[in-house]
Amino acid sequence: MCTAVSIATGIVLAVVWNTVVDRLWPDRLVLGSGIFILSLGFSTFVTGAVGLVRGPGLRLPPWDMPSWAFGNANFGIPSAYGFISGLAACCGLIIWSRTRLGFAFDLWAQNQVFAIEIGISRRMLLIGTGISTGTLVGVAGAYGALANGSTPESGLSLFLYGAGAALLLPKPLLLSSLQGGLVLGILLVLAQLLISPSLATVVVFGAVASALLFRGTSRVSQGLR
Amino acid sequence: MNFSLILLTSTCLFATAGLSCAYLYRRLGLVSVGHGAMLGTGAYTYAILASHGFPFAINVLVTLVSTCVFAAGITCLSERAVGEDYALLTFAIQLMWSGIIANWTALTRGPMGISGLGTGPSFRAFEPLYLWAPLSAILAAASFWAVHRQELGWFPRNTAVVARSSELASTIGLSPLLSRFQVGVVSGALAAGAALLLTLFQTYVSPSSYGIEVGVTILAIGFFALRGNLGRILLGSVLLVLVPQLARFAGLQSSRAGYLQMLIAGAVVCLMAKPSLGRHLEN
Repeated sequence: MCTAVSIATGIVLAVVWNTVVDRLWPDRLVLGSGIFILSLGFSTFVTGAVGLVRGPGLRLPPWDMPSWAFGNANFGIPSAYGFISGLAACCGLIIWSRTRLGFAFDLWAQNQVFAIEIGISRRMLLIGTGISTGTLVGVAGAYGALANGSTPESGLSLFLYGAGAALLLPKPLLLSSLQGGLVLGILLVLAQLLISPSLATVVVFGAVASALLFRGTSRVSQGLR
Repeated sequence: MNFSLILLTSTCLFATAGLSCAYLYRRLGLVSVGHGAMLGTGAYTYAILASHGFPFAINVLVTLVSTCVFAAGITCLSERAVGEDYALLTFAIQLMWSGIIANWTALTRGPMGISGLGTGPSFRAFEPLYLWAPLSAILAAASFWAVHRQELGWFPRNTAVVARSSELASTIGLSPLLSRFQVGVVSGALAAGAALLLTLFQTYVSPSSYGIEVGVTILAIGFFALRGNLGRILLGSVLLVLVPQLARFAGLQSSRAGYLQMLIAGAVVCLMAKPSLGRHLEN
């Protein structure tokens, strides 16, 4: 029930947010920097609003969670939920990216002018991507709250990881964002296990910064004339 | 009286930091989310040196140099990453900076920060706040004047070419990297001034004082700086610094007042991004 509410909230917010950004630039094409800065502002606003209303601090789920013994390991509900729902969400995204709407989204991300020329509907994209991203955000948010508890800053942290995953790999494709997220997730876990949990963020964002600098986006670094 | 001076000092120093952020955008079209780290570098440099007993003049000089070098280094990275990638890059640098500062306990004393720094030079019976408040106001006004004065010279023309196209700049004999370095040094100098006075005035530093929230707050004040004169910058600073402080004074919990600042900063970024950055956000 809680997960369903989380996903529904994610979908509503994503569709509304897509529509707001679209209304800001009704006749023109929007660059990634516009969406990034607006999303950063909105995430900060939501964090501030949540913190102001409920106050600071960590809140954990109140119920006792049973665990499942498997060999020498104990799987708790959050781990099982994270594994199953994360896998289902990834599979769903892969299938969705192979549909007409998924291809339309990828084309829009690569070349907005061409996408408009061949008749891809902006409204259809707004709703379609809102539903898919809202579902993913709802699943990730519910897992974060279940496994680690929630703080007002949780959303802002997820936004940071999401932005890093989306921009880590050079191709503006849905599956590249998924791959970027997997790379960052694996790196985060490895850094937590092998180095230190408190330094994991430094390692992950060090990797993001290195990737951005290595591939480069300026015209000089891409060698365009 | 003292509370009013504290508010005035904070407002003026954050206005200077916002001006530093806006300067990067004006000259090179770069949106920096990592100005908290820039300010924090200056603050920590001074705090570490002061806690080791170095003379005040040396501390000030090294703080200026280190902040300028840090700022110039980050600005030069725009040779490789632009647009949203540069914003994300500064974001990543900000988070890495916070992580390193919070974990390098031998040097920075970790999350607790460095406190009891004193007020720099000895003032005997004189209340230091009476000096920091007018100095902060002078710094904000002088920074604004210097930035506007600079817009009349040759430098803005060079950086305008670099911002438009590095290849074009190279073709007409300009060095894009040098121009970026110069812009970074100026931005860093403004941030260093603000950081130095902020540290002297607060007498402590901690990682949470220069986190990502501070970066977003400075960005929001920077949007005001992009929209007009010193009055507007101060208005932005008043909105983002003064309102949460007044709410705290009126009885709002201290931690909740911090969230109020985040709420206002987020709203300002959302509402002013389009009118302030305009053409850079459109294709």
